[in-house]
Amino acid sequence: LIRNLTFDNPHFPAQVAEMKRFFLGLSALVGLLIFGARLTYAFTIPVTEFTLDNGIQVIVIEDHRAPVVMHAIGYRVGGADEEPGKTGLAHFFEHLMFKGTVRYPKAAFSTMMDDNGVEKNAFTTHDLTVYYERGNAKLLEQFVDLDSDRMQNLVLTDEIFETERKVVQEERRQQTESNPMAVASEQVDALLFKLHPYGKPVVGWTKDVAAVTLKDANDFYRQHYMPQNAIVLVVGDVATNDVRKLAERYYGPLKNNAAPKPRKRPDLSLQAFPQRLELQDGRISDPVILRKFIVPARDAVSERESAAFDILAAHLGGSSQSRLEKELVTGSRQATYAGAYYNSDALTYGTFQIYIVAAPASDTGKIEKDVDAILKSVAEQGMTAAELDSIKERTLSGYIYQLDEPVSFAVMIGFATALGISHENIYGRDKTIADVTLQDVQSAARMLYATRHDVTLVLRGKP
Amino acid sequence: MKHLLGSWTAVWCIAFLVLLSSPPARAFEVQVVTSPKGIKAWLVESHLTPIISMNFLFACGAANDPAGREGTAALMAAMLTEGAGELRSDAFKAKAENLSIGLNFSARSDFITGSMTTLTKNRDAAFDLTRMAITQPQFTAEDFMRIRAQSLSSMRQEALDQTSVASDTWYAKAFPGHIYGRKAKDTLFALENITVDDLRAFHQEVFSRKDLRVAVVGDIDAQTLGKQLDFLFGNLGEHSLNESYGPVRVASNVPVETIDFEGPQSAIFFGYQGLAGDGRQAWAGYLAAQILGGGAEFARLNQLLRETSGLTYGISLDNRRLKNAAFQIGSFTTDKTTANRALQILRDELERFAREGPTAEELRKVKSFAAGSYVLRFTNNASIAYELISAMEKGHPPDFANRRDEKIQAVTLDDVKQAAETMLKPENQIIIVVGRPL
Repeated sequence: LIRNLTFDNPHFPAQVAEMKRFFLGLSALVGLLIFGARLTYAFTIPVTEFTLDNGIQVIVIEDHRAPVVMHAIGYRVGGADEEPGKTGLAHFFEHLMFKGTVRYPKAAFSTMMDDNGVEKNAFTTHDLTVYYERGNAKLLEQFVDLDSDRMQNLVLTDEIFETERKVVQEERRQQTESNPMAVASEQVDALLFKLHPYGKPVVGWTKDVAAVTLKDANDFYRQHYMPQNAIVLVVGDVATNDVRKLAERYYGPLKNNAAPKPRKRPDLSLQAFPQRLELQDGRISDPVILRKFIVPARDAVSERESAAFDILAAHLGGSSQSRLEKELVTGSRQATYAGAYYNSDALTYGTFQIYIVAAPASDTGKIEKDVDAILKSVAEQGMTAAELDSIKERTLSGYIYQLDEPVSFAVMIGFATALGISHENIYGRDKTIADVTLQDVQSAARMLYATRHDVTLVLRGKP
Repeated sequence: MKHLLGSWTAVWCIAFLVLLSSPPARAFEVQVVTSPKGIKAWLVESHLTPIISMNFLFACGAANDPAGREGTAALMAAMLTEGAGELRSDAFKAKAENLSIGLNFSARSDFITGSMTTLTKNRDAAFDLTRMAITQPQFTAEDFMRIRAQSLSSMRQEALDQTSVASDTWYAKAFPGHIYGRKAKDTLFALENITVDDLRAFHQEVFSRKDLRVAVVGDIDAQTLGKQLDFLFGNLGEHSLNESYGPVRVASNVPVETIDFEGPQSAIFFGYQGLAGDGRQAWAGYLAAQILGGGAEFARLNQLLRETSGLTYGISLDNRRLKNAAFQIGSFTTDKTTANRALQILRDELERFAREGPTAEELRKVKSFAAGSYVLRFTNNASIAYELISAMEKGHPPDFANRRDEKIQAVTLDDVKQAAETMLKPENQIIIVVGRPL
């Protein structure tokens, strides 16, 4: 499945893959917390959260298994916050954040990272921009120092800007234009969201990336990079009190130069749906069918309603027992892959997608009809209690695996916090999952089947 | 070292202490567990999380595919979890899913790899499913047709993927006639000929516990694991295999291969014979690759092709060691209109590096980077289990992690210069360009 997530650097493929797996993995509902007295399972990951006077939020998780720390800072800004005609600026700017300040010029910044073997990277989504460093735990103060410094003191020149523009253009050519599914997916989003900012690619349209200026970048920086817009995550071999002292010392003195813009996304005109898109690309072998729906994001509905979409996705795809897999892959053999995925991490509008790779001789029209029939069946008859219990059990077990991956866990908390999900809802997700009823899942399916705010893509190779 | 001997069960265990960077010092212990039947495993016991991760390697793989039946090992590995023991495919997978047990097998050239993860509370069921998959796969014709269709589908797509075409072509040119040079296209063709009988024959005649390697991390003790080892692997045969392929060197005097491909970019793969073994020369070769195109920002090719020129989104160069070959392979993509310029910069730099070697400062930096970044590979159970099995694959001892930094620190400037000169001769370079430069 394609998700609009754009990294700064293709290095450290294992870690990038891990982060990507985490973000994509939310479909399986792996990634949330079991906490405190409400536990279904007897364990906790202790989390400390605090907010400094200037508004910067800090989340700390201690993990003493290895002498390693991850420090991340996320800003509540992304591709959807760009002005018209400036698509790609949030992501382009993310690249520029590595170019140095007066105190820590590029060379000093890079040397510190290289000499200590630090893993550093960054990524941009429609709603967030995140920078992170992972290294020996004794480096935490330097990470905090460098990230607090570059929040407001970046020095950019025309030469730096123009060279990095080329890197970003190559990134778009490699990640999007050389990948037929990414090209098609960009068209699906444009058709689905029309003029809404979620219809624009995070990496930006070619024309816009070519036209953006250094002044645009500096204006964007001043407008969005400030403590009130930032969330800091620290995970690893640290003492929470030490983190608090470092945060107060380095992040504490930073000032908010402007009031952050309210992050209400525009309303979407949900008319003239469903729509279809048939594309051909010589780099595709077996036909691909993607149906993408607009559904509420996690912040727009109750926790139970959004959890029901997660359970619906698990019921439809991704396991041997899921409906699409059973009927289309192991049953009729019309497909070789069938999956479903709910993206709730957005503001107001999330998406739900069904993704199918057809077997070469299959009739894609017949597959689409069968998908309709499956959705109709879940909308009208729901799922069985045993099926629901099984998905809940798998989901809750998935949380236990998070104990081995506290970084993914912290990133999940950071994402949810940045998107305005309350503390209670984040840490009560296990309880929410347990509370989801058969009726909740059926309602979610009915929303997909009855309202049909979707675009169906059929992507084929060239004969 | 200490001895943990459980004489009444005859599970033997010797422990090695591995120190992560200091300060602050942190250590974990690799126990070498030997089962009553003599099956060995490395164990890092940790009861901090209720999770067990296990990786294992069988010393057979695609290299043992029968001629004209290329892909047998891969299909057999994929079929191990499609029904086993009493359980049909759907029941087997449902049981694993409902208990959140992860169980996967796949085939590489020289090994069939497996991995299993489970929560402690489902441990016995997890070991039982794993045992059934390994020793009692059903190989039904119906499941086989489906799995083969899925393999064919993903291979057809891979054959149209620019980077896969470039990589495939590089290996074919580097190792003609050897398993490492087998093209996906050949397998795609042969898959159609394979039947379930081929899988059964492979399972009985090739799949064995000879040279089996097992790494376990997490919530289990040596005694329990020792007993499980026999349960899991004890019933497999121990037959020795005839080596189908022996050690091989990367071909030389191969002209640059350019292949037409649609899309805006050229995908470029380059590489050459590396330095085998675990001695100072081999580590010098590793450091040479790191200085040219490792993960650090100062890496020369990153500086030249990304940081100062913007010609690519990223370039990397890896030092690879397979059972029968040592080589270095790198890749990047760039716009077709800048591909010739980028290639010239690449060639000039490889030539300069062969002539001059690195600077003393570069060697200092790369050693520092290697030491600092290594600890990041040992932060959780899953990644430790991966490091253990990788070390076992290369034949390293259980305290491999301690020895690594010593070996790296011992490398001198002259060693790297010599390694660069040996490896980077122009006639040894194999360069593949997919997407004709404009």
